[in-house]
Amino acid sequence: MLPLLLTFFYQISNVNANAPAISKDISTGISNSVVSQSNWPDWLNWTIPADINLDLKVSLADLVILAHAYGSKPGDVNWNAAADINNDTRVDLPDLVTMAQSYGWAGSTPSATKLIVSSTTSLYETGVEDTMKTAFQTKFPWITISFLSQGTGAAIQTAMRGDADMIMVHDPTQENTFLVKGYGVNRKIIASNFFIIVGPQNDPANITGMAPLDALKQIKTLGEQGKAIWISRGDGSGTNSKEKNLWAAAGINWTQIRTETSWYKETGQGMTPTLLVANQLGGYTLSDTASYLTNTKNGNIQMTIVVQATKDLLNVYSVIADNPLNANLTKTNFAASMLFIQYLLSDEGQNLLANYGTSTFGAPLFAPFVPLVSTGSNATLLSWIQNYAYIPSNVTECPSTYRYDAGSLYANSWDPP
Amino acid sequence: MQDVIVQALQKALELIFSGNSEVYATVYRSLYVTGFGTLLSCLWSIPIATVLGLYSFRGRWLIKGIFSSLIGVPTVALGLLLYLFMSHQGEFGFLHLLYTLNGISIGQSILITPLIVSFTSSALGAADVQLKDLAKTLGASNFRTNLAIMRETVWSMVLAVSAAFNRGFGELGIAMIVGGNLFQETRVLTTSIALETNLGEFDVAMAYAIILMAVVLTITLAINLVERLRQEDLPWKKWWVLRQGGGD
Amino acid sequence: MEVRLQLKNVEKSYGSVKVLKDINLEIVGAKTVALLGINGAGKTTLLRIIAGLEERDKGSILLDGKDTNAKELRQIATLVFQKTVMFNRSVFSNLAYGLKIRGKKDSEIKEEIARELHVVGLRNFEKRKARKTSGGEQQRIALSRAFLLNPQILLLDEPTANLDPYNATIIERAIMNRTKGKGIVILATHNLSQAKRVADDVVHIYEGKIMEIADPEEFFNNPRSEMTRKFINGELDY
Repeated sequence: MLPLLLTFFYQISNVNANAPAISKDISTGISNSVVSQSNWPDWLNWTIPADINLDLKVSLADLVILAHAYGSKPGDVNWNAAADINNDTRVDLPDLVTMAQSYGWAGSTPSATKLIVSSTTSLYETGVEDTMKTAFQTKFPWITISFLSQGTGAAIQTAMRGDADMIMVHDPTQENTFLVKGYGVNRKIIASNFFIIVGPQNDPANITGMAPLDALKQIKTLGEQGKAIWISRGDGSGTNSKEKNLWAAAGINWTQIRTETSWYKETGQGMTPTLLVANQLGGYTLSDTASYLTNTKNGNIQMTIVVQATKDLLNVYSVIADNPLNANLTKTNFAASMLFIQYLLSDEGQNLLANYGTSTFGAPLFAPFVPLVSTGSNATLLSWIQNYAYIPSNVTECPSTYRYDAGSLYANSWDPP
Repeated sequence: MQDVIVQALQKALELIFSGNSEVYATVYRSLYVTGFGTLLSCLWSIPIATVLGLYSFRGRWLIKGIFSSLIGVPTVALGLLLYLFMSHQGEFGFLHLLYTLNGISIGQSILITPLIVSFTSSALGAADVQLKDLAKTLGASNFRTNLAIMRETVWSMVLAVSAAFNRGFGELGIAMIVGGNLFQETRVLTTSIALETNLGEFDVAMAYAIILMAVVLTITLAINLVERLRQEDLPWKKWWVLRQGGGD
Repeated sequence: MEVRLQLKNVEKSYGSVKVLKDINLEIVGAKTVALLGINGAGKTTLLRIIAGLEERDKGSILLDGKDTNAKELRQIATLVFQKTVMFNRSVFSNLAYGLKIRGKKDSEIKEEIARELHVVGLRNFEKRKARKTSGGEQQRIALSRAFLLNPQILLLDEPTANLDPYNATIIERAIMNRTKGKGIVILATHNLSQAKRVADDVVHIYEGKIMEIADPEEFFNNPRSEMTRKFINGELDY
């Protein structure tokens, strides 16, 4: 280690402190390495690869990160793709040299810009988006990020019209359509949790602990006898899609129960209003964990979780950027979208998701995806996610056809080429 | 933008003439809810307006001012308040009004009360003093005098009530929060517009909005037509009178 | 039993202005009394007080020796306003109003009303909108409306002031035909010849005070009051 540090400090002393702010052609003046420009995305043109932590300067902080990942390769515990400055799948001397050459570099703050994320009511109501906003804007102060809150279906429509720059939703089927129809690129899974079926505390339908599909069948049977009520969101949201899939999987004709029965009620609204209705009428409903916990905590509802945490109830959150090559979407803020996506997947972003909810609810609301897939800590959950949310199933988060200028987003060991 | 409107108009016509039973049911529910709510409101609003308009007492100006300012109460705020009262933890929970059409009716009847009271009491108060004198000198008691004044200002009352109906017909906050927008049960025109907007189905949302305005327009024009027929010396009316042998 | 109306020390102020000052008046028997005076003298106010439409500030009004309050006066007296007021209804409805209040039914009064209208030359006017008739027609309707009630005291505030000679004549004739022997009639006017024609007694009121009370002969030929003499000669302000 010591010889390396000495080499480093020797190199630093040779640096022209007035090295100009550079864009991506930093290959000039560096002898031993070739920067693979295909991995330095256009949207990062306000800084240089040596600025590992993206704070607009090459400084001690970047050196520390490099030092920590030094000598690693993909698959190692301390592998850090961002520290692999010359993109040769190793963090080694050439990367150190490059950093030394540009040490002290300071970039200028890009001009102020807005990022609009079209997201779902489920996420919005947890409050996590406020936390994301604060953290992201602290790190990148020239970006103002706003979150729109709608049902997944509407969220996707908003992005399709170009009224949002990216989507953050939880419906793999609709996400797939978004990609296939050419509206989105660079899909990434950020976190997961589980839907739950909640109901009145006395559980009149007696479904506590049953498997989800069996529980739904029982609700239908008892509903027809007038002993149980089901409340649906009916708003094209991710939760609603999940619900419809479950009914289908249970072999029940959803259209029929929706229009021809009185035990199935549809509110056409978000999770909280739907929970309130279920609470008042003593009915059952499918909810996301966060909304349930929030509303229980503030005393709006007095319901219990009757069915939880099984494969059928998996809930996976993903992000997709608007496709800048789409004729309708040329004006969207691709650069900021990608930056936010990369942020969410970074250690800082994933930690934010990992910790969110612990202080308010006593338990985290999200299981961040990156640690799961990089360390294989929970193989069962991972296989469920890959089965349910990979496109195609079990293959990849995002087929390469729908990747664009993704930088090192898919350069991880677990990403198929 | 014009495309959206044209599409919306087309969609509106489609919805109306397709015989879509859900559309008709929604229109019916809106009419029922606000119609019933308006009738209810008249039950107490007209008497209150009479007292406020025709009798003087201390603090009258203050009460008139309060009613006047309550006209603009945000429907969401009122909806929330009603929800708290009607929820099963609330004082009126035992009535099970939440998520029912009658619940919305009651909510709307409260919403439009200030409107009816304010406008009607103003109209009554502004009634020609001479009419009061006329009634009195013809032997009317105070009570009968007030009745006569009310009869003279009927048209103003009709206008006030129809304005109140329009306010209730187009409000969203109470219908959504108290009604719950339950499909086939409490989904009305305004909550449908909100829902379709949230779903991004803009042409359907606009279509519902057009239908709503069309209903309001029809009702308003009908009322105006009735009044016009009552008042005007239309040619056919003149003939009728002459036929009766009238003439100087 | 003759009807007897007495006003004793009646006063009335509007704000700080004293409009009637110490009015003393007595009318015995079914007489027609003309109340003469220039504009602003207090004629209308006096009529309104007798009609029970205003409360007097001081003094008393006695009918047949009994003290009467405004409310009671309203039932006994009917005032026909100077500027006609019609309910926004049909002629029939206007005419029927007072009778219906007193409990009569439509069927009972149809004939009466038709007859009254005939008397003032407005046959078959029942169904017309009252407010859509001409000024002269409205005045006649107002008169019929009062006649129908047969009030003990009939008060008329300048009934022909705004009418053309034709209508004025009809009205005056109707009044004279109708009112003979049917209770007290007090008619306010500033038309001297009308007073001469119509009245049994003439009262001159000036600045809220009664200047002269006399029969027409004495009043116009030999008034006692200086003011009255000036009034007759047209020397007082209008």
